[in-house]
Amino acid sequence: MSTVNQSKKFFSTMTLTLMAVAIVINMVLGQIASILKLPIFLDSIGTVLVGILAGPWAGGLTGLITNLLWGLISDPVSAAFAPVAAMIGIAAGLCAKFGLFKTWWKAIISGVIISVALAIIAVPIRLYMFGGLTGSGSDFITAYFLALGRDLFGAVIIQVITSNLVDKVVTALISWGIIKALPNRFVSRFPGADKV
Amino acid sequence: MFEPHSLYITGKGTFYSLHPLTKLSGVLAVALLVFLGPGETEKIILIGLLIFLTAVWAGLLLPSIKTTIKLLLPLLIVLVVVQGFFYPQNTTILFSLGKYEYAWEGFLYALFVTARIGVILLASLLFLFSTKLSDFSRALTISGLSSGLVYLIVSPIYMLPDFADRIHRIRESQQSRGLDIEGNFLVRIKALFPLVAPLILGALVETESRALILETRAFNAIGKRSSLVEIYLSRRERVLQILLLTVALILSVIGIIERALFL
Repeated sequence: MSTVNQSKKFFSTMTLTLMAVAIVINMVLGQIASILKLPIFLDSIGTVLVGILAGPWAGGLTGLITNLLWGLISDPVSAAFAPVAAMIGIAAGLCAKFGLFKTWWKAIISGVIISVALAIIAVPIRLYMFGGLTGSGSDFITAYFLALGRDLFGAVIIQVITSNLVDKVVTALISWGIIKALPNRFVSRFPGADKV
Repeated sequence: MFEPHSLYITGKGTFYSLHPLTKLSGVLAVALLVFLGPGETEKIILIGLLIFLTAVWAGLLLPSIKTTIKLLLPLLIVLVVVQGFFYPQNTTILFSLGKYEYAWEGFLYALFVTARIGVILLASLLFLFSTKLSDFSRALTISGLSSGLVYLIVSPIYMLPDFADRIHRIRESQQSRGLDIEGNFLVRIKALFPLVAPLILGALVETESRALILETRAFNAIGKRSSLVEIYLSRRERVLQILLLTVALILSVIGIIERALFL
């Protein structure tokens, strides 16, 4: 079977256009965070939405390509974190499968689960590729815990989870709100429709 | 054809006219070798020297070094400070600050980590600076990658300016309806959903028409399609691509075995 047919089997055209639009949403929402001067990234709402609507693999691919494209058009370093973005989509998709996006407080739980899941991928990348630091503002958290006597591994885990927790909970809540606001006719076209 | 925003710098020469996928193979080979290939510092210096020469050859030395420094300077500074004080193998103390001691080993480790990323960054910048996005997407299309995947990689880049514009419009219309976006933290948090929701809802609902447009243009049709802009991949370059990736893979396997044996 050719690759074209295979991809057709996995993702319908509608899922494909959803993923493309979600990638753009990921890329531009950071602008809104900076307009409002909020200390969050907002760069994975598209990924989480695809995870909910079209499943963990589609969500993972959306995150992966978002970061690779960032690498292509502005900052190659963000490509190194593409596996982290993929993990966000996979985790969101799995949470949705277990009904964890049905109510607002379940969405908060999903946000926490996503933060912990992404740390599993992000911590080794930070430790091995970047020596535990990335040159961003949140490095202060790492340095602070090192100064308190923690080892680098512990300090990086704390840093990754704390700097992502608020962002991912807000992301999960907004995604829940968006899904609730979408017309049923639209949501029912996707495989994840009965889980939300 | 509309050329989207990218890092491309106008220029010409042999390096510029290499097939995009040849340059991408080079970047992948460098990334593999830097992290998995045998050797430590001497390997980074050798690869760094090779890329430096390539940059001179491509005529992109100045912009690529400038951008690398701009992107890596913050990382270098934090690493030099933090690793100097807290690197576990620190023994040669250079100076102390209160109860914290700054050591030579940590300083060297900071330089090593930054150099490792710097080398890969330099290689990817040479690829990005010398390759038009439209050429890259054309090369992907004819490389046999599934058309769905190519669509996912290429279409967001073309949609990006339009979406950035929409954010601007949504902000202005919500503000004209009285949305406060400059108050205290709570006010700004409250403004988040009214700004984000219209953008996402609008974009999601139109995915249906995007899908219909693709279908009416035979997106899922089977068979080879002809193209307006042809990109030619010579036999020599095909061999070069395979060679780069095979050598990098073999050396990586050697490096992994070496580390497993001596750990």
